Amino acid sequence: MSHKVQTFWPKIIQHQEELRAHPFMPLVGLCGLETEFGLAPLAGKDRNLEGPANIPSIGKLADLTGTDLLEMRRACYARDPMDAVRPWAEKLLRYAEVKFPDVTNLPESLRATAFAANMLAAFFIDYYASTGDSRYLNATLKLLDYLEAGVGRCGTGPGLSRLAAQTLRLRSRLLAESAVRKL
Amino acid sequence: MKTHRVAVFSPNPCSLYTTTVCELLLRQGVFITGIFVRRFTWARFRQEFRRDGSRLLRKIWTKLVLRERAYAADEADNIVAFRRAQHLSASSVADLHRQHGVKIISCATLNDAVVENQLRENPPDLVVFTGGGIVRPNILAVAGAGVVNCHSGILPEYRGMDVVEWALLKGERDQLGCTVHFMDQGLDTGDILRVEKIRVIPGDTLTRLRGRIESRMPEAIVGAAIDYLEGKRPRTPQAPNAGRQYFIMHPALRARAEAKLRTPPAGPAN
Repeated sequence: MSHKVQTFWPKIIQHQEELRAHPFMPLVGLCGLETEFGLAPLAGKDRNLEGPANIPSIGKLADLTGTDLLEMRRACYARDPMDAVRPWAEKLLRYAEVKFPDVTNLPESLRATAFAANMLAAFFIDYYASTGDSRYLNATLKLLDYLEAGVGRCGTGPGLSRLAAQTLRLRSRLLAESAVRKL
Repeated sequence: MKTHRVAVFSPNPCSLYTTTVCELLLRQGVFITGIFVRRFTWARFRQEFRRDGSRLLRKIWTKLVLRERAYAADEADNIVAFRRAQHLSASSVADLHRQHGVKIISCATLNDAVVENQLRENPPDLVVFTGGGIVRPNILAVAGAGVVNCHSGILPEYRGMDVVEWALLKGERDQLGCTVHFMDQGLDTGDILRVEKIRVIPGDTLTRLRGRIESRMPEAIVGAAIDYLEGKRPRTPQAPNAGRQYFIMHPALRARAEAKLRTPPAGPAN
């Protein structure tokens, strides 16, 4: 484990109480940490949270871009109505449960298996926090198990450094475990 | 009175559920046109292992190796106890062939041409599904009135897998039981014939609860199939957007579901 990640852990632990205390898991509470570790675009901190998220209408999984996935996470953060997100979430859930780790149906930008697992886990846990649908928590736990089962599998991909990928995975793990305890 | 002709789909040659269903059908005077049994293939093993992981090995051990011995002898509410109470003696589909002359057709998948051809040559009034994987439209089209399945959850709310655990996790103890329904191209989305609910009894475990549901399924599917063939039971379509599809539950959530089962439900607030 790198020095940065070692120093990151106490911060995570420091925020855990806040995480547990929040009625619906303080997704935003971890944004500071994410920003520090280069995950600002994923955390939504530097993004314009005003206005509705730009979610494409439902189509083929291969047409979904990484940006669309981030927009859907933003909709979860912003507690937007989930009408536009729900069909995509259902489709992605079915993919993660049935097809994964086969990534041939995914868009080009998500074809690195571990990266896809990391991104999907992050989206699923945010979607779970917004909707309370425990099927998404279930899928998050499985994807994280997949990521953690392989040494060095941390989900790096386009624009996501190794440390950022580890941070994102740790964040998903913490939120998921916190959510399991609350069930 | 017309003798009903029913074909049976079976997941393997030793399925207790299949033999129980077949014996109940024969006892009701139904003519079994054939039992289509899926045989072992490595392709099937790979496909199921990919879906179920280590659970498949456990399933093989309990269903194919231990069989009756997998059930606690002192349990009064499981399929073995049900078979004992009903004095059912066949222990495999081969026994059914020996004792009743039922035709056995071996197939790699239930969607094989051999299954389709047999169903065309010797058409049944109905097919009873006791396991064996997804049934494709080419088979559904030649299955008489259709293929009926007994799902171990309440439809339309709980489709898919591990539905007992999912209902417990969500605290919906009134959504436990089984549903007899027609199979269609979706997953557990076909018309419903019969819903049978069960209650949680203090001291229940997941295994005991599953065992109790399993013991209700043979009578539920045979009863519903015969009632349907005799015109006594209508098909009730499921609303297209009703219910959710559930998937294999992660062990962490399963532990939570089990813990919830051990916790008595909260009584009405004073």
